[in-house]
Amino acid sequence: MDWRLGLHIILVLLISGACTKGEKKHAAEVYGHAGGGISKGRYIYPPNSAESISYAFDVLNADGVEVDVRLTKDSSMVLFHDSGLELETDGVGCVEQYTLAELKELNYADRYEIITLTEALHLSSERNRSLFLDLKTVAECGIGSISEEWVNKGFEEVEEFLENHPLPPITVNSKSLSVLSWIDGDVFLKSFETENIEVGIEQYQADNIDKLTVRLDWINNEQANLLRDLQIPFCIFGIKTQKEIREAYGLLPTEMISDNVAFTKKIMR
Amino acid sequence: MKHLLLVGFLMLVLTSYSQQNALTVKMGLNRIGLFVAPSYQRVIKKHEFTAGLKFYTQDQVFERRYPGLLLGYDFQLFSFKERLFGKVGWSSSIFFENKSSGNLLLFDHMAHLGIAVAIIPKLHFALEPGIGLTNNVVYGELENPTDYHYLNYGLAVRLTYYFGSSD
Repeated sequence: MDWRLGLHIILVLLISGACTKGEKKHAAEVYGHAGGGISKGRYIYPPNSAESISYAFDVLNADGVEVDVRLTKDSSMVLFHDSGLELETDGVGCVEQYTLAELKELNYADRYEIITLTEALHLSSERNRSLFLDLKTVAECGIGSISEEWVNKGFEEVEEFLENHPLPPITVNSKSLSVLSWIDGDVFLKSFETENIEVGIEQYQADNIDKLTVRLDWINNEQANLLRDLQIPFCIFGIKTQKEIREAYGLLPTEMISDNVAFTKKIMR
Repeated sequence: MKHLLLVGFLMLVLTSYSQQNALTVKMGLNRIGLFVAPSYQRVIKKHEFTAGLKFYTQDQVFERRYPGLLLGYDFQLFSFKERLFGKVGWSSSIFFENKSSGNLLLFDHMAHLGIAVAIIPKLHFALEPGIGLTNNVVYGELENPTDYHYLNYGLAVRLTYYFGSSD
């Protein structure tokens, strides 16, 4: 090979390397899904447990965690994914049929306990990280939808905590616009989970919500570009595999709820 | 000083036996992720002492590709016609990662069983299921370091090349 050609190739490689190094990558906030992740067989601690939340903060370096919030019979807010208790605990029936004291007696995933939202707030407050609350307002066991009064009572304790413990903004997510209308917009950021991006844009422009939450398979490149052009913050969830994480990051969201926090953070480097 | 003399004596005793060297590469998957561990082995009779590096992919725990230091020991339980070998062993490795939230020290201890076959007399292939304990110590962000430990398990394959036999 001609030495000039070799030199040319080396120079091109050096220059392209230098350009890549200078590029600043898009940074999205990374939330651990239900703490350190919810994928069966991969997570270290059970979803929504105190251990899983602090593991996501300390070991996985998550910017925040997404947790599933349900209301108890006596209006306490607890972290639990499903309404039914049978699969993960030694209890029967639904979370909404139990008082907080009764739920605390149950064994969650053999040797863990169901924690309250206030306990999760303590964990995030100690580390100054944010929380993303997925508010579950529909219960099984014939209970149906949770009332406004029930939700407001549940949030009283949280607001009391926040008065004494300043935290990064907390997001409340719901699929229901009426539920979001009950939430105090001065205390929480409201995120609307919707498949219909157009409706989401309308609601944002009407100042009813602060951001959108969309599953990866609900949004395409065009819609993501539109949201960015309109400067509407949006969070993507439903990302478990490395392929899905890359795909979600390619849409340049403002936030990502990931089942693999370390890998998600790695691709942003 | 006493300890040093004792270690020196032990080394002298061990090195008076037949010895062999080996280069080994172990690859596997456990709850921390996928790893590869190139190492050097000193083989003294039925004892194999290992020192090397271990790399995990940037997946479930690590954001950066930092090598970990690995030490290990294997004992040969049986040998069948110098073709099939049964071993039991242990390995410990230590990793450090500087995350924006604090510093992570990860200790990865695994005990394993090994079934090895000699592809050719000096080249062995082994299958090693293992079980152990992983410790994550995080310091720097909170006032007190936090410690997370959990049961780890996994499966690995190992390729070993023996050389420099002496009696």
